Formats: sequence, structure tokens, C-alpha cells
Amino acid sequence: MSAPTANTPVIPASATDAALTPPLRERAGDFWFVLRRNPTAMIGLLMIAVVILSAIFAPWIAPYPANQIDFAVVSQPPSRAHLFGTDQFGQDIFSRILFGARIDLLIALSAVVISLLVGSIYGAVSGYVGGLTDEVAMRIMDILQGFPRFIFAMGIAYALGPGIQTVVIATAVLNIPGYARLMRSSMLSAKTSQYAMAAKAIGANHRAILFQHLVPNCLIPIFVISTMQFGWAILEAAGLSFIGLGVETSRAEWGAMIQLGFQDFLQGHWWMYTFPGLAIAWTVLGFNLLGDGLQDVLDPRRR
Amino acid sequence: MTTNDLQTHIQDAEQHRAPMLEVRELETQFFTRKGVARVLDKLSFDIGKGEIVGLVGESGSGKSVTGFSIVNLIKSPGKIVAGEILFEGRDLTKSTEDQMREIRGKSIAMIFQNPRGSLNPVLSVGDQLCQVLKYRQGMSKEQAKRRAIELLTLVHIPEPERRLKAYPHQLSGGMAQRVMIAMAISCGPELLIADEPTTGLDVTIEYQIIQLLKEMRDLTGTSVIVITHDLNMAAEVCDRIMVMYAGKVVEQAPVDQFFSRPSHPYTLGLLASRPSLHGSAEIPTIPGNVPDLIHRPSGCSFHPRCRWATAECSATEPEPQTIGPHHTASCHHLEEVQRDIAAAR
Repeated sequence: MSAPTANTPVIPASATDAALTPPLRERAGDFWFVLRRNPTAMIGLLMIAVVILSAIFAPWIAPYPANQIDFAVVSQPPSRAHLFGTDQFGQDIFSRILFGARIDLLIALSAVVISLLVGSIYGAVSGYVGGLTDEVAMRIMDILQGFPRFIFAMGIAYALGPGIQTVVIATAVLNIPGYARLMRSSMLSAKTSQYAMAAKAIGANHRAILFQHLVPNCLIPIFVISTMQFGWAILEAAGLSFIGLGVETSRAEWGAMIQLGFQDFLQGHWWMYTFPGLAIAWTVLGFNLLGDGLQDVLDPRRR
Repeated sequence: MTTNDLQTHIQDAEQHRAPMLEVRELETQFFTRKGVARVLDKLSFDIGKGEIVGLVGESGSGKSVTGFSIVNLIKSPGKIVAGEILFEGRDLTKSTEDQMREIRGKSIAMIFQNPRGSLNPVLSVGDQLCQVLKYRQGMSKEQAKRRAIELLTLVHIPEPERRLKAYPHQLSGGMAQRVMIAMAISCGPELLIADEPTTGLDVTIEYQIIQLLKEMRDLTGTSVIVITHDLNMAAEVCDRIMVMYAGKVVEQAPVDQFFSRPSHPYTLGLLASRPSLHGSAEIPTIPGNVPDLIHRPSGCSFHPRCRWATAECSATEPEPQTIGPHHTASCHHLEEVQRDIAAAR
């Protein structure tokens, strides 16, 4: 058994040793390539794009300002001048829906961001620390989830009083446990991974292991869920406004518009609540389709 | 390796006899539901400065647990219950977690099998290397990047600037292991523990990686413990080989002695069960399995599988016997074994 001498030249790693590395821009391109071939995601994306564009360009597209009260055209059915009709104050419903996209998207975005941040940090730490801490932390989430979702949101909204912040906070709190649980379960599997062990073996401290190594690896399911949560957040926010605990009816917000319209239900003024309702349905559906599609795109096993 | 080279190597090893790592009667146990598994059983060995030592044995012989015990990363329900790990005069088993964190990476680094799994899939190679350099070596971003490129060049990665931006899934296993080695030597450790560094790599890459380990030793003077079940690989890279069986070193010898005069029946079994190019198609195996570590056999742990075993073997545990310089084996029947081998030839 002869061992080669120490100065045997090392065979240089050949060019075939690794595939050439595509730059990051190309990887983003790959993602877009796969996404484009997923009809579900594309339809969802298109539907959301319509909503986002109308939110951005509302002042230019909308034929009337959002809060222009005109008692000359009170409770008009849809016509050429008022595409979706007018409400009891003569406000143009089409314009209000366009402007409403701003408030509803803003509420949903804030609620999702807050619950995502709070929930995932909570879940990450809980799962990483484990043991009794984890047990207690998760039981607290159980308590939050123990209440019927909407009743719980109503409770919070009632305590805080109506307003946009109220809706944001109530919707965010409602969604925290979901993110916390999802993050925790991803964390439980990630923390036993070899790269976590390797990081430990090189002397990384807990904070570095948790936030640099583990959390970034747990984000994909979080992102998928948050796209869908976006839709739900809009639904919940509108729900709160509809029962009068959320945004005031004076504001152009879809839920509040439905509430206002519903007061005229017996008069048969169907356009007052149908069109804002359709706007909500359209948006929620768009986000859900995108979420479904993203799940397929981001899951390498389903590519 | 020529005889001359070998002798200078042995002399070197002797000069460095003051060992940098001494493991004394180390006992690591796993407290399972079925009982206490005594995985390391009064394990003792030394590692000299700049030495490459191979730790060989079957799966379940406690090789990896030895590695993890040294860096104090034994996972629950495992625990070091007794013994000392003296590293530069300091007992690691008594160090706090903060002290160990300081030691890991800076003084003792460890690399694993499945190198791609050891790299964080969402961070680029450069980010991971630079992070270590920034936080452990206190380098600035610029310095870290420059040093990372140097390190990648050192481990023979072509186009290191470009590789910095690569993600682990874009690397082959061999490349990933090179990156891991670069990361392991980045803080200039005195001891590198390589836990099956070439398992899962193909043969040519395997050879490159073990050559690289050797080169890093020559370059930095770091000691290396190579944990492997591959005797051929150990022969290529190691100065000394220790054979582990059921949590004990049963034989240790300088590499030439090891292959020219194997003495322990278990070593003989391991050597015989290597596939060879010529010879019978059937590979002889060692009958039986690694013993149940919860109910360890009495006396010599190997006696149930040993054809030389006698009543003495099941009654008392053999002490290490000196066979040659730095060559010991723990067996009651070394003479008979040698006689039988000579007769078989």
C-alpha cells in the first residue's frame, strides 16, 4: 500500500466539476419563465394587476371624485353617466370602487405585513428554542385561535373603536397564529438540518444561526400563505366595515359601501351593494389564484 | 511514499509527541428509552500537532460521536458523562457553551459528509464565507471578500470571483466540499475534524479532496482527524490510523505499520473485507454485527465475532499491548493471531 508523496500535484477541479453559475438576474428570469406557464398564477396576477392599477390611477380613471355628494342624482341605477349607479348621497359607485381599492389594498398590505413579521419571528423563536418555551408560546397561539375568527376580530374592533387602524390591527392579530405555526413547523425541521449543524460547528451564535441560516430557509411557505392571506385580509376588513365596526361609511371602502348600500336593500337598490361585493370577490379570487399558482411554482417537487 | 519520506514523517511525528489533543477515558452515552447506550467506552487517544489521523471502523463504532464529542455538539439524548478532552491544556468537557463557541471554527473546525447539505441553500457561497470571516475574524466587508477569493483559490476552485455568487445547488459535491474546507480553514484552526469528507463523492473527486486535506495540513500545519470507513482512503491521506470498535480504539499504528503488520482480529477482518481487483469474487465479511451498545458484551467487545475468542476474552477486557513504535492493539491473543496469519501465508 503506497501512499503518494505529499507533493503530488492536486488535480485541478475540472470545468465539468460544476455547472456554470447563472447570475441572479437569470434566476429571476427562470422564476418568471415558470410562472408564466402556470395559467392559475397568471390569471390571478392579471386580476390583481387590474385592482392595483385602478388603485394607482383612480384619480385619472374615475369619472367623479370619491366623495362628491350630489343630491340631484341620489340612488340612480346604473346608467351611462353613472356606470355602477349612485348611492343615497349621489356618490358615483364606480368611482368609489376605484378609490376604494386604495384603502382596501392598504389595509390588507398593512395587516399582512404586521402579522407576517410578528407571527414569523414569534414562531421562529418558539420553534428554535423549543422545550417549555415553545410549549407555552404555542398554547398562547391556541388561545388566540380558540375563538371563532370573526367574533374575535369583532371583539378587538369593538374595543378599539371604528377606523382604519382598528381594521388593520384586528385583521393582523387574527392572522398572527397562522404565521407563527407555519414558521414554527418549518423551523423544527430546519433546525435539525446539516447546514445548521455546520454553522454551529464553525462557531456561529444562536442569533446568526436563527436569523441568517434558518429563517431565510423557512420563508417560501410563508410567502405563499401571505398571498392568500392578502385575499382573506380584504374579506375580513370588508366584513368588519360591513357590520359597522371597521371603516366609517363616509369613506370609500368596499365593506363600508356594501353596508351603506344594504340600508337600501328593501328599496331594491341592488347596484349599491352588488358592485362593491363583486370588487371584493374579484380581488380575493385574484390573490387566491396567485397563491395557488405560486405554491406550484415555488415547490420544486411540483415543477 | 518512499521509505525516507516515511521515516522523516515518523520522526516528525515523534518530535511533536507533545500532543495537541488528548482524549482520556472519554465516555459518551445516549440515554434512550430502551436504556443507556454506552457509545464511547473509556476512549483514549492523542493527536499530535500537524498529524493526519484516520479514525476507521464500521458504522456504529462511534467514530462520528467521537468527532462531535470533541467539539461538544452531542445532541440530546447523548451526553459526555466522564473523561477529559484536553486541547492545548484545557479540558473541553468542562468548557461552557460560550467558550466552546469561541473554540469551534477558530481552534477546532469540523466538516461533514454530504457537503451540499452543509451549506445554507439560500445564501451564496460568498455570503457564507464572508459571514464567517466578518464575524469570527472581525474583517471588513472588503477584506472578507478578498480573503474569501484567496481561500477559494487555495482550495483550487477555478474562477473564484464568479463562484462567490454561486448558490450551493449550483455546485457539484466536490466543489461544495472544497468550499466547506475553505470555510473550515478560514479561521486557521489547529484541528480539523473531517467526518467522512468524501462519502458520496465519485472516486476521482474523492482523491482530489483527500489530496486537498493533505495539502492544507502541509500549508497550515493543522492537525486533521479523518473519520472514514474507507481504509484505502485512510491509507492515502493519513500518517496514523486508529481502528475503533464499539467506542474504543482497538488498534492504532503509523500507516505503514498498520498495513504491513495488522494485529487486532478486527483490523484483520476490516482489511480482508476490502474489495480487490484480483482475487476471489466473493469478499470475505466479518460475521455478525456491531454489538448492541445498551447490552455490551462482557470482556472484549469483539469476542462474539472473533474466531480466536476464548473464555478469557469474554471474562476480561484486554489492555492495549505494544507491538512496535506507536503501534498498539488491545487483544488477549496477539501471538496466536500472528502465528495463524503467518501459517495462512
